[in-house]
Amino acid sequence: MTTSIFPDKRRSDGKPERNRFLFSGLAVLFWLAVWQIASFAIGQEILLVSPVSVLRKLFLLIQEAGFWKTVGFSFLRIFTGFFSAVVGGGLAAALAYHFSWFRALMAPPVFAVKATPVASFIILCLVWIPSRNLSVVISFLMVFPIIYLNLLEGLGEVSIELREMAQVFRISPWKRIYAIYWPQCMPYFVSACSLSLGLCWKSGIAAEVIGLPDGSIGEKLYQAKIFLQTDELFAWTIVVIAVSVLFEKTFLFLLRAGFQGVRVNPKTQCDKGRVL
Amino acid sequence: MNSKDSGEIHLFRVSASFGSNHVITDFSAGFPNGSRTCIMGPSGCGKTTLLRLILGLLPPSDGIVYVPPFQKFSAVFQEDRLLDGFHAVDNIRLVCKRKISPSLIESALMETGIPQKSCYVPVRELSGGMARRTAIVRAVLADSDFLLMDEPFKGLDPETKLKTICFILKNLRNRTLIVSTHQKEDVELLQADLMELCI
Repeated sequence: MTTSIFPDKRRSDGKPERNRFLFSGLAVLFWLAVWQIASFAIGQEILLVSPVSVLRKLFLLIQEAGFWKTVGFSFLRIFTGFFSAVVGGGLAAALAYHFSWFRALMAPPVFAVKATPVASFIILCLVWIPSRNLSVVISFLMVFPIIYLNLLEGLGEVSIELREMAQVFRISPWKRIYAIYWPQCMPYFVSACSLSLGLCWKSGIAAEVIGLPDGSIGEKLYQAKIFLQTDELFAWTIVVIAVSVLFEKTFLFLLRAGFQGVRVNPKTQCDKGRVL
Repeated sequence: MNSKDSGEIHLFRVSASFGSNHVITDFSAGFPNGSRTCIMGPSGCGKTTLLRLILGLLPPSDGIVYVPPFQKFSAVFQEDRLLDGFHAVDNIRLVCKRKISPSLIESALMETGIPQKSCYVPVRELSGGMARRTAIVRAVLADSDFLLMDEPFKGLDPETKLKTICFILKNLRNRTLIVSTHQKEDVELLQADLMELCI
């Protein structure tokens, strides 16, 4: 048996979800059929384009030379914003956990960022920074409070008893982070990342739609809207969803794989020789 | 020779309180280097508080707790305080400063009656008694000058307790041992001096 700090992906009745993919696939097919029927009933592609036309457009877009460059442009900036927020939020949470004055100092800006509509930030930031880097800042601003607050909550849950034990046995700071703090914070971190990965894409693309930096997905979406190219609008939206999901799944997979060391496998005794 | 030269722990007119509840009042005692002491007394008399004062986990409200500089402690707490997701061997390796092989830890755990297969089971899956013995082995194997144990044998049957005491004595290496207990026989088994506290 393997134990892990990650939640078990089984149903509450204990049976593995064998048919999960089948049901998911059927659900997608059902809604595609509804979309197709609705589009057919309306009969105007400008108002509601059919999924077949969107797929055709998407196929054509992928073959264009500038497609991957456009995706890369947006991905790079949104990822930079996300990654900076993860690092910054993590460091800020650690500081706020240790110093109450820092926590008090951080409270107003974090509250302000959380409560302010993303559109206000986008417009405000456009005054100060070039539109090319707007999505970096907006992604950062959307992700930072989520990472910061979740990690701070996770750190707050670390047991006082274990902290005292670590103090008495003079466990080194790195071992404390690895063995005591990280397992406690990991579920909070994974949940924060999962939540913020989707959000950073939504806000990042919104920033691009308003800022219109050349060669971005946001710009393509805006142009599709201006020229009433509904099929292209839908196709780029699918691209955003696909890249966002792929990014989220890859990131969470790497995160889990990177911390396999926390797992214990008594059958193979795989960590028998592991250096703590 | 005064207490500071001999490297002993010394408590001088120490008081400890939690709000208006005075747990220890004007208490003085010394624990010479290499001594073994069993602290006994009724529940609530301040045994755990005394150990926490020595460990530096609780500041005295009055008086002085003197611990020689650069001295290292290891402890068995009232609760096991093990890392649930780690197995027994890793829990022990975590606190060992010197390189210590898993097989050595394994044999130490087995000396206290823990079967080999249980050494690599996450401690959350161990019985209360096994987890307790893991906590004891951890404290004994840790690099320390003072060994403090707060009711270490609770939940252990007599035979297991005897095995565990033999393990402690075998590996004590002239360290100062302070044990809080409710069992008078522990004083004899540990060949320790008795210190009785009262409310």
